[in-house]
Amino acid sequence: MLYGYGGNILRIDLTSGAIATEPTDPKVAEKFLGGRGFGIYFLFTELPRGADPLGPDNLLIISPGPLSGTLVPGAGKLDIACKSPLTGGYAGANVGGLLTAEIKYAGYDSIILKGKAPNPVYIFIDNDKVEIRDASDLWGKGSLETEKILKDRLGEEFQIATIGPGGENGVKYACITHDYGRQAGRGGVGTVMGSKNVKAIAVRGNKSIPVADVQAFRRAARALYKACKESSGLQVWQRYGTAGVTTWSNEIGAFPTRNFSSGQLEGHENLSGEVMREKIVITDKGCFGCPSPCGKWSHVKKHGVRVEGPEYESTALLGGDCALTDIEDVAYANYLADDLGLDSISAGNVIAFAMECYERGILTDKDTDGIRLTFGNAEAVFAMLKKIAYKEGIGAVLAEGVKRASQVLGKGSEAFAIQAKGMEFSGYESHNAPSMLLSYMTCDVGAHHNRSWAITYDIQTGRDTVTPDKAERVIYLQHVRPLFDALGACRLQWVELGLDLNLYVPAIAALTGLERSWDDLLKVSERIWNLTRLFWFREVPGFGRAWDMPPARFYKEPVVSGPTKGKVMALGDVERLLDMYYERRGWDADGRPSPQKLQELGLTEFAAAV
Amino acid sequence: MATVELLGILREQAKAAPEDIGPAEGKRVAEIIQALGVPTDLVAFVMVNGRQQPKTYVIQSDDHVILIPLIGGG
Repeated sequence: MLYGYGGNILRIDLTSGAIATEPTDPKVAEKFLGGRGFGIYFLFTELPRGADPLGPDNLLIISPGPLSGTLVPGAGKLDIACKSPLTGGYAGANVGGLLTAEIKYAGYDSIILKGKAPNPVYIFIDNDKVEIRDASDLWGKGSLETEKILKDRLGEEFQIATIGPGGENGVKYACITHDYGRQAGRGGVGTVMGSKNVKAIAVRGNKSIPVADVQAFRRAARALYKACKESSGLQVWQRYGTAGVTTWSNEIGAFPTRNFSSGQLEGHENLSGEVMREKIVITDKGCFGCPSPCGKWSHVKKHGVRVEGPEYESTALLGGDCALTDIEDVAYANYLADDLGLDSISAGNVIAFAMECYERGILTDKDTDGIRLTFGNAEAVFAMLKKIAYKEGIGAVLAEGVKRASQVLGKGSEAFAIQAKGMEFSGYESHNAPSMLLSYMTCDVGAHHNRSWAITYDIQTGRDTVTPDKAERVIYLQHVRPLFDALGACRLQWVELGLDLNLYVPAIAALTGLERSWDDLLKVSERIWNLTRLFWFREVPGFGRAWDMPPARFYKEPVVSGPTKGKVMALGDVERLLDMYYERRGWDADGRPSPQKLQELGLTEFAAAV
Repeated sequence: MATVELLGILREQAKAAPEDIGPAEGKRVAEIIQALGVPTDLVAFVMVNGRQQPKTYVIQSDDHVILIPLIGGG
């Protein structure tokens, strides 16, 4: 008996229509845990080397983790992995909501899609009954409308994931949406789903999850809940969610403003968590088993829509980076991104890049079909989101992401294409935050804060210093935070409520029957991190150190305004940071894991494939 | 009387206790943070009577001010 797991891997070949299940391998479960670990394991072992990200050989791997759907607080996270059409390397996106529990209750630890359906379809999963159903009538519809139609058709018990027009049309940063506003956002997982002609996935499950020691698990889970409810951070996070960070982020000069040229937006007070709460929020909205619901459901009267959010990240990129200062405009842009099926982080970053190009004369009115693409123009943001989703005019170039767009547009725009590995930066301006910049540079999907969020470490230890402890801190966080993605649970109870990580240890042991210390679990996370790094080397020709470098803006152009005005890192310091990081990871000067490190992590057999 | 409370790492880093810095009424939150000897950038949230306020907020009598850091994930 494999305790803590659904017990099966579900494989769906969309080309042939073949559907098969196999038991989850206990050895793989022990070595890679689940969720993100399963995603990279199957991707590495089953994706044909050099596969076209948008071709039928790519895999879309949807994996809950062992904690998903259990009594542990925040057990509602789902990992979705594939080869990224945005970066050409690894994509691993994480989504909350209720879907992960439903997949687990249906008995699955991974759902692996491959091939390409001849016509638009959706995947229907009702426990053991799995069908590929026609979705011709859904193709072309928005993400949110599609979810509503399928809920009406199948019943509220079904949990649905959908793509929007962005995913259908091959926008390289299309997302997968679930629960009317939760996204597996980054790296183009929705693009890959669209390339397979899959419009949606609908799942219902009502099996139970085997638990090794039920009483001990209940005790451990209750201890975690008790700690959540007693946390003094609960009052902030429940009232504001991530939007509570906006004011502080501006105070410290970390709010991306005008395409990361500044870290403080004039007028940011109008985007604060309190303004959002008072002006548009209707109610709180949590994921499965959440004691601290950070989701906010909002009514945007000015534009006549309802939307989940905006989260801090959407406010940072669609708001600050594009210089919008009305929370209702930001919320409406968020709604459009959600319904069109675009990652709001990449989309906001891309539009801010285009605005800078316009203001510098690299793009003209002729290029934009007359849209005045100036910073602060909300109507231009709305229009560009639609142009990108449908690849109209300049939208077709911007749909490729800032890296490719800057290569097309040229004229020095590469220097302010704010990306690493081809993925757009998320919501922290990092000119004066070495640990945070290193977090973006070395993140395993491209420039994303999810794996390491280290800006408070910079504040504690000095924002102008480049020291080895910063690299060590980033590595530590890159093991802790993704571990939650492998376990299939939310890390925000730790991040926001300050839970003691050791409280998770007895819960995981009682659930799975395997006694593992937190350090043992971190070792699994390090294994996952290094296997992901090998994947990049295997799939991306010429991959190495250059891919971990930030755009020149961070080491050549000082911040133009705000509390960090004039700050910029020296290129030599950026290089030193990377050296320190590689050395402490046991990687060579090009960022390749050493044979010793791979042996230590039990990855030698995988290295042979690189 | 207004009261001031520190949470988490701010409690450890403070060089003075709230009861030792005199009345808080009429002062800006930023002044209180400075009097406590807490690095201001580490104060991520200022909650006054259950509502988030900026550090420029002037403390009123009977306010309950809680200073909250953002450290757990970083």
